[in-house]
Amino acid sequence: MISKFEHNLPKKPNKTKFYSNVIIFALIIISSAWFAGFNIITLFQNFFRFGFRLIGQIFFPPDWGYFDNAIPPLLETIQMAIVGSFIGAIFAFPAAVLAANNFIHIKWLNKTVRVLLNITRTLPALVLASIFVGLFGSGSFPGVIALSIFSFGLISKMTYESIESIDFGQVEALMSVGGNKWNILRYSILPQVLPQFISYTLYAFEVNVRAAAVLGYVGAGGIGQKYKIFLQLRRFDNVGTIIIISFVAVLIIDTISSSIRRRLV
Amino acid sequence: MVAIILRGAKKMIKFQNVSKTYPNGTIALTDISVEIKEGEFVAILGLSGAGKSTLLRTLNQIIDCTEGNILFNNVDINTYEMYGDDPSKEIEKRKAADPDFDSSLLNLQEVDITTIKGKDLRKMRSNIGMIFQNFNIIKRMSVLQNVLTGRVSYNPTWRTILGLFPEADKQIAYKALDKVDILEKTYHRASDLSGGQMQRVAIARSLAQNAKILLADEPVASLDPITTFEVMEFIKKINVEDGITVISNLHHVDLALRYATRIVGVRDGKLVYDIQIKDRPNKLIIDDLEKVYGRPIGQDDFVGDEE
Amino acid sequence: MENILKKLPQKPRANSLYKTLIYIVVISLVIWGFSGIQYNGIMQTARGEISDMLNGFLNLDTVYLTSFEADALVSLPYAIVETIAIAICGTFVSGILAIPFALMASQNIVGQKTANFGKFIITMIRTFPELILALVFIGVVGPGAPAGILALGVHSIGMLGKLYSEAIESMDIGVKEGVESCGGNSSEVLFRAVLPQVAPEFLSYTLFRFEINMRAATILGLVGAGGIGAPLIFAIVSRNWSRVWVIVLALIVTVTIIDLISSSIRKKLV
Repeated sequence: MISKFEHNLPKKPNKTKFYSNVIIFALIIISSAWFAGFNIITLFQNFFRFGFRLIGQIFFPPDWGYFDNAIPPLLETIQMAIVGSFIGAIFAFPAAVLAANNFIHIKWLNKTVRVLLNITRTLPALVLASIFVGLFGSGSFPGVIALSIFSFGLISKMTYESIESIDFGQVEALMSVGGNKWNILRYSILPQVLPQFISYTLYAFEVNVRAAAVLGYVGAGGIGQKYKIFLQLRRFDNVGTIIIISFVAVLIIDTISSSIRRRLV
Repeated sequence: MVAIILRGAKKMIKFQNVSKTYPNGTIALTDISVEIKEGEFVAILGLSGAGKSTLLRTLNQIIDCTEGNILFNNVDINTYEMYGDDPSKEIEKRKAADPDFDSSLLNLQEVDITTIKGKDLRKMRSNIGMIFQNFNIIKRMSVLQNVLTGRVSYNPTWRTILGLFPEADKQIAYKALDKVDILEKTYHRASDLSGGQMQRVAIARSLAQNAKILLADEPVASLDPITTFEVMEFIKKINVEDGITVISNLHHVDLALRYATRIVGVRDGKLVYDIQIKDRPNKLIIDDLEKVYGRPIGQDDFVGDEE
Repeated sequence: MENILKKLPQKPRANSLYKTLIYIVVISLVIWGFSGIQYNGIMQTARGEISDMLNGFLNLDTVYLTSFEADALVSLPYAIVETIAIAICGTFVSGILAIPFALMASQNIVGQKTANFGKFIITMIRTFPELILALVFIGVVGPGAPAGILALGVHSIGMLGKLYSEAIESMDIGVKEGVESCGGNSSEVLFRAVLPQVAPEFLSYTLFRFEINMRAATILGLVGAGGIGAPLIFAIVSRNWSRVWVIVLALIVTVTIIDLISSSIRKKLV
C-alpha cells in the first residue's frame, strides 16, 4: 500500500479565475449567436437546399465571354489601389514620426496624432467611399480618397510602432555627435525603419486591392460597380466571371507582394 | 591676442556635485566631484549598475543632471569649440591648418554644459566623441558615410539629409580612417565588418568630429581578447599622439592598469577611489579595488595575457 | 595626405543596375496608377452638400440614437449590438474552425507536400472579399445577420488559418519532441504539446481579427447581411446627414472601446 504523500505539497493554484473567464467567454458567444438569430441547424438545412444551386449558377459555368470586358475595370481597380497606397504612405511617414513618443517628446502632439490615426482606422473604406461619392460624384476619385485615408491610418500605426521599437543606441550615437532632430531622423531612425515602412506600404496595397474591388458597389470606381449591375440583372454567371477575375488578380498581386516583403525584412 | 591661461590653474573638465535621480526614484549618482586634465586617460571602474554609464552620459548631457554642474574650461562661446587646458597649443594647430585663423576673435570662457541647450549644446557635443559597447554603427551605410556622420554638426541640415558632404569633410574622414588603419574598408557596408572593425570606425567617427574628448562606454566588452587589445591600442594611440582626453568605462582591471593614466572608482553612485596609476604599484591598486567592488578581484576581472 | 589618398581603395560603381531597375518599375507603376484616376471636379451640388453635412453634424439624429426597438433601421443601439454580435460569432467560431486548416498547412505537422496544398486552400479562401461572400450567403440563407456571420466566418478562417499556420511553423519543435519521446501518439502530441504552446498566440491573433471583423461587420449590412451597414447606407444615399453623423460617431466610439479592451487583453497574453 502506497501511503499518501501529505507533507509539504505546495498549495494548488487557484483555477477559478481561468474557469470564470472561460464561462464569460462562452456566454458572450452564445448570447451573440442568439441575438443574431444564428441557428446552426436551420443554416445547414438552407445551405443544402439553396446553397448548391446558387453556387452552381455562379460558377458553373461563369460567363467566359465577358472576360475581356472585365479587364479594364479590373485595371482601374488596381490603379486605385496603387494611388491610394502611395498617397497614404506619403502622409503616413511624417505622421508616424510625429506620433512616435521616443522621437518627438511633445506629449500632446503624440496623443493628437494617434487619436487622429485611430479615427481614420475605425471607418471602413466603403463607408468613406460612399460619403465621398456624394461629394465628388461616382468614379474612381472618391474611391482613391477613401483608400488613401485608410492606408494613411494603417501604415502610420505600424510605422510608429516600428519607430518606437528601434535600437536606441544609434539615436544616442547621433546625439553624441552633435546631431539635431533631422540628423537623428535621417541617420538612426530612417535606416532602421525604412524597410519595414516599405513592407507596410506593400501590405496596405494588398489590402487595398481587395477593398478597391468592392468600392465600386457604392459607385466609387473599379470592378465593384459591375457586381451591383449584374446582381440586379440576376446575371449570376457574370458575377462568377468577376469573382474569378478579381480572385486571380488578388492572388497574383499577393504572391508578388509577399515575396518582395520577405526580401525586405 | 587672447590672454594665456596659467598652466595647471583650471582643469579642462570639472564635475561639481553632480547628482542624478531618475524619474522612477532610482538614485544613479550622488554628489560626484572630480577634475580631469586635458590629455588624461581616465578609466572608470565599478560594478554594473554602480553608475558608470550614467556618469559618462552626463558629460555630454545625453542624460541630464538633477543637481550639480559640469564645467568645461576655455570654451569659445562664439562657436562652443573647446581649446583645452592650454589654448595656445590648439590655436597654433588651427593657424597651421588655416592661415586666416584669427585668434583675437576668440572669447574663451568656462562653460557649464548643464546650462546650455539646443544648437549650442549640439556644438559642444561635436567636440565630444562617444563610442559604445555595441558600437552603434549604422549597419546599412558604408564605412565612409558612418565616419561622415561625425561631421553633421559642421554642415547645414540640408547637406546632411541628402548625404552630400563637401570634399574637405571627406578628406577629414579619410585621415580618420587611416589613423585607425581601416582605410581599405572605406566603401564597404558597415554590416560587413567584424566587431573590432566597427569599433574602429566608431573611433574614426569621433576623430572626424575633431573631438577633444573621447567618452568610451565599455568599448571592448563585446570583443574577444585579441581584438580587445587591438582596439585599446588605437584608443591609446589617439590619446598619446593627438592629445585626446579619454574617459572610459572598463570592465577589466588589467586593461585599466595597462592603458589608463588614472583610475576612478564608482560605487553605488558615489566616487570612492581616485588614483594616478603611476603613483602606486599595481598590486596595491588591485587590493584597493576590492573596496570599490565590494568583493575580491577575481579572474573574470582580467582579460588575460595577449596571445 | 597624398599617401593616404593612394591607400584609398577603388570606389565601387554606383548603385547596381538591379536597384535602378526597381526604382524605374515602381515609379512607372505609380504614374500609370495616377493616369487612370478620373477627377470630375467637385460636383455642382457639393457646396450645398457640405453645408448640409455640417448642419447634420450639429443636429445629430438623437431619435435614432435612443430608440430601443428590435429593428436596425429604427434603433441605433440595436444595430450596433447586432453588428457586434455578428463580429463575435464570425470571429470566434472561425477561430476554432481555422485550427484544422492551419494544422493541414503547417509543414512541421504534416510534411511539405500536404502543407503546400493546405496553404493553397487557405489562400483560396482568403482571397474572397467578405462582401462577395456575404452576397453568396444571402442567396443561401436569406438576408440578415446569419449571412453576415457566415461571410465573416469563412473569410476569417482563411485569414486566421494563415496566421495560425505561421505560428505553428515557427514554434519550438522541442515541445513536440518532448511528448513524442514519452511515447505519445499524434493526437496526444497535438493536444498536450502543440496546441497549448501556440494557444496564447492564437488567441491574440483571434482578438486582432475580431477588431478587424468589427469594421467588416459594419459594411456587410450594406448588402443586407445585418448590422449597421444597411441603415448607414440608406442614410448616406438619402442624404440624411444628421443620421449619418450619429452613426459614424457611434461607430467610432464603439470600435475604439472594443479596440482598447481587445488590446489590453492581448497585452496580457503575450
